[in-house]
This record gives sequence, structure tokens and C-alpha cells, in this order.
Amino acid sequence: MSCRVIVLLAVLCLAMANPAAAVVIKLGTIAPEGSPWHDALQDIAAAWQKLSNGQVTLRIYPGGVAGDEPDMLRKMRIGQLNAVALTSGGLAEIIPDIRALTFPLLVRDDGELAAVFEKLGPRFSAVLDAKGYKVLTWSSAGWVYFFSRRPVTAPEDLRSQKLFFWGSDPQYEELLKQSGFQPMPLAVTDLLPSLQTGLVDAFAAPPAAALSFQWFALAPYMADLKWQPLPGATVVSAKVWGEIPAELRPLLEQAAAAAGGRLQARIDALNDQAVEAMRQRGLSLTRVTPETEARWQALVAEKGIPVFVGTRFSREIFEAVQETLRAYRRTREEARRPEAPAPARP
Amino acid sequence: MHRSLMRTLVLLPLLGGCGVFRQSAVDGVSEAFLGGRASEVYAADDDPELVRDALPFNLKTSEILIAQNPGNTALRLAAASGFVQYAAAFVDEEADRLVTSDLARARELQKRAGGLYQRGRDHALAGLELAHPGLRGRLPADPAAALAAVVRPEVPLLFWAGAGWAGAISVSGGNPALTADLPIAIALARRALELDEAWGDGVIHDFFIMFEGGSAGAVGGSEQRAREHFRRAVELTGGRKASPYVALAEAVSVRRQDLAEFTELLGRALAVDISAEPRWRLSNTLSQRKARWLLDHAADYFIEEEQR
Repeated sequence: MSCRVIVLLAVLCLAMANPAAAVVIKLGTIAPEGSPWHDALQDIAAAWQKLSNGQVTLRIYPGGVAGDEPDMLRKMRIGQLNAVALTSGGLAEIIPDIRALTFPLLVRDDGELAAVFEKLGPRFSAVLDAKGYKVLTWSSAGWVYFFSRRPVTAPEDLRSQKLFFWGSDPQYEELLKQSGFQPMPLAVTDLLPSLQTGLVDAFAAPPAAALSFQWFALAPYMADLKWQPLPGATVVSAKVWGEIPAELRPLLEQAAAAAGGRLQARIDALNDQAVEAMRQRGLSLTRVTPETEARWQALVAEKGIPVFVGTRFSREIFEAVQETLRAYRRTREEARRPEAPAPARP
Repeated sequence: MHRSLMRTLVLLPLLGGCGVFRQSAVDGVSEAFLGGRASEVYAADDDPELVRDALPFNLKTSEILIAQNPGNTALRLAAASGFVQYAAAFVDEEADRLVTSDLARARELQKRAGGLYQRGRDHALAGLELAHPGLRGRLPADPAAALAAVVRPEVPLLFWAGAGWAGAISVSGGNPALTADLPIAIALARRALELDEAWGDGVIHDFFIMFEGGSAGAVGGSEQRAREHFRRAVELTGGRKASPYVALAEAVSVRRQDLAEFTELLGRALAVDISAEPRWRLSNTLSQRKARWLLDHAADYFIEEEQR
């Protein structure tokens, strides 16, 4: 055997021992195929494929085929899935403090939500990191509003209607009952038939969902009250993320964040368009005056805060959110205030 | 749900057996290019690429003829079925295949498919309007009531209007203005089913396998109803048409993550003898191509495929 052949064989053996390992990341989401959320994940998959020169493949399982969110998180733990695009409900399974952001009527608009994420996002990411999840991008599904068979403006309007209540959460359900509401715990798949049969009269959802699933046709009144935001995040297993070559990771992260940013703009527009499309098909918007909104706020403060704060999420995070909001509102107020006239020269 | 809604349209009996031009209400040239015999020639072809390249000529010819005879129902039907099927079989289908390798191109194709679907839908609705003036305007308020006066001979127009509309929604990326019309699209197909469920060799059942299976749950679909439509579609075609097997595999087996059923159904689709039924040759060729592609890409649909 010539020296040349030996050298070639040695090189070949080295190459076989240390190949450029391909990483396949399986990601599950309940977002339907073809929805803007699914589109954004496809954008990330295409960008990763290109940036990694084919080394990193993101395989997306949309529409809940990999199960609901608790199921997908379980599959992540046993390695069947490596990533999940989560809504706030799923996120709260890993990081209960995220519930402070979705506490009703606390965060009031997109600017406030962005301010809270800017301030507290790194903190949430660090907690997720410590639990073995790498956050690729934070996102939002928009704002939750009440849709109902009969108009709702004040709390008593909703109390007289049977309210769809997603999933099983005895503590929350009990709180609603004590506040005079009629929660009906059901799976989301039961909402449409339950509206049809009269088992429920009202539900809370983002406008795009009310339209996409055709729920609004049976509950054609929407209260113009931003009840709560619906933040979410796409997380990947830290273990699998660590298998990606270190020099690639920042590039992939940037691509995911960029897709997340584009998605956010699209979601905001989508919800506005959804309201308009539903209005053209018979949806009525009921205006909630500042006085009535104050009554909702008082109800939430009286009934919700004592039960939720310190149990469902930490008092510390709740106060941190409140402090962030106060600072943001102060700054915004100052920016809006007209500049004081320059003092007259003597 | 929306995206999966129309995937099976590629499996429709491409221009065959759909009653196009049976009324002989057009002149000889039109009949030669767009009539029933022409449909049979297309449907019996075993070369999808040849059909893909030839169809645009027919589509434009039908539109030229419509410009000269806007009140001709048969021409409207030919255009409706042609546009919807061309969009599904050759544009939307290609987009599906390119999603993982060339996303930008896939999105361009989806956008183009959306335009073609809507064109097909509009021709079908225009055809229905000839006998039912003002029908389109009445659809949004109460689709079922608006369609009550439509009669059995109009089933092809009903079906292509519904299929085109649903196809446009499926590639719209969640466009709210289009999504809001989904109940209309389904009402059109449902009325066709009520009037003549066996029409088009069970093609309406193929549509509902995908709709019921793909939307099981939140939007009111049902796996059980999807399976009933499957049973009936297989019965109507004597098991000699591959499309129902592929539709059930894609809509229901994937949702259930039942890889064994998926593999078995696609195996049955591939076992169909293409030469046995010339009128379904093109449809079966396309369905089997799809079945092979799905089997080759099972890992994209089943999270546990690699652990098999």
C-alpha cells in the first residue's frame, strides 16, 4: 500500500469520525397549517436551512398533530419533539410567572406589552434557560375580547350568559363562580357545537380565532374591551440547541427573532382585519365606556388579585410588572405633554 | 385546517366525468376543444406534464368564448372546472412540494393558485347567476337559504364554486376577508352533496373527507363523518380510484398520527391498476404520484416516523 493511499485512508477515517453532523429539530405547534404563525415558522426553517448550509433542519408539525401544548411539552421531555411554539397557557406550565402578563386588564395595550417584555423578557428567558429551554422568539397572538350571544358591556351582562371556559382549572373556575359568572369548562373543540346547542353563550378569544373557527357567527357581539394579551414563545430544547455548531447559533437566533418581528406586525394587522371582516358579516361591537371599564377593573382587583397573586404567580413578578407599567406610562405621559413655554426674558 | 382543506383537489377526476358540455349548447369548435369528448381525452391521459402544458390553452380559449357568449352556462362550467383543477393539480400541488426546498417559490405558486381558484369560483358563480339572478349577493347572509332554489343539473357549478372558494381560502395565509367566507364555500359543496351525492364519481365525498378530517374539532369537522365519506367514495368507485385512500391518509391518519393506517391506505392507493379505468387514468396517475411523495416524506408528517 503506497504512502499516498495510507494518507487518503487516514483522512477518510478522520472525516468519518467527525462528520458535519446534521441536526434535525422537530417543532410542534397548535397553529393551523397555512396560518401566519405557521408561515413564520416556515420562514425560520428556510432561513436556518440556508444559513447552516443544510446542517440544521427545522421540521414543523402544525395544527396540533403532535398533541395539545401539555402533550407537546411531555414529548419534548422524552425527546420525541425538540421545540414547541407555545401560547401563554403552555408557557405557564414551565414558567407560572408568565401568568402575571395575562392577568386581566393589567397590561392595557401593545406598547405596554412591549415595555414589559423589554424589561422582563430576559428574566423569563433566564428561567426557561435554567429549565432546559432556549427561547428563540417571543410573540403574541393579539388580545382577548369577549364574544357573546347578547351584548356585553358591564360585568352583569356577562354574568347572565354561560361562559365557555377552556380546559380544567378548578381554582380559576371557582373564582369565576364566586364572582357571579357561569363558567362552562369544555375542550376548545367543543366550543362550536356548544354554541350551536346553547350550552354556552359567550367566550373570550382573539378576533382572528373567533373568525377563523367561525365562532363569531353564533356569538355576534364583541365587547370593545382588551381583556388580556396572549403572549407566546417558541422554545427549543437547550440540549438539542447545544448540538448546533456554536458559530451558527447566533445567526439562527437572529433569523428566528427577525421572523418573530415580522409575524408580530402581521398579527396586529390580522386581528384588525378580522374584526372588520366579522363586522361586514353581522358582528356588532359594543363600546365599553371608561366608567364601565373602571367597574371591570374594580372587580378584577377585588376578586382576582387576592386569589391569583402569590399563588398562580409570584407577588414579586406582579409588582415588577406593575412597576414597569408605571414607569412606561409616566414616560409616555411626559412625551405627550406639550413642552412648557420658555420663560420670558427679563 | 385551511391549508389541508383543499389538498385533495389534485385528486379530482381532472376534467373527466364532470358533465362538462353535455348540453351541447356550444358550437363545433368549442365542443372540439372544451366538450365532453375533450374532457375524456384529458382524463384518459397518463402523462400529467403533457396535460399541464396543454390546459392553459383550453382555459384561455374558454375565457375568449365566454367573452363572446357571456350567457352560456356550459362555457362557464368548462372554465370553472378547468381553472379550479388546473390550480389544484399543477400549481398548488407544486407549491406543496417546494415548501421545504424553496419557500419563496412555493409562496409565489400559492399566490398564483389563489388567483386561479378564485377565477374558477367566479365562473361557476356567474353560471349559477344565469338561472338565479342575485344569488351571489344573497350568499353571505344565509348560504343555505340562498342555495335552496338550486337544482340537481346545477350540481357541477355548485361544486366548482365551493371547491374554488375553499381552495382560495386554503392558500390565503389566513386572509380574514377570505376566511370569513368559509361557511359559504362549505354550503355550496354541501348543497351539491344533497342534490347528487354520487356526482363526479364520488368527488364530493373526496372533498368532504378532507374537510371533515382536516377540520375535526374546532371548526366543526368530524373524523367519523370523514370516514363515512371515505366509505361511500370507495363504494361509488369500486375501489378502483386512488383518490379516497390518499385523502383519508392525508386528512385523518396524519391528524391521528397513525402511521400504520397512513402506510396501509397509501399502499392501497398504489395498488390501484391505472390501466383498468381509462376515464380515471390521469386522476389515478396524479393520486399515485402524490401517494409515493407522501410515503417518501412521512417524516414531515409523523413525529415518530424515524423511530419506526
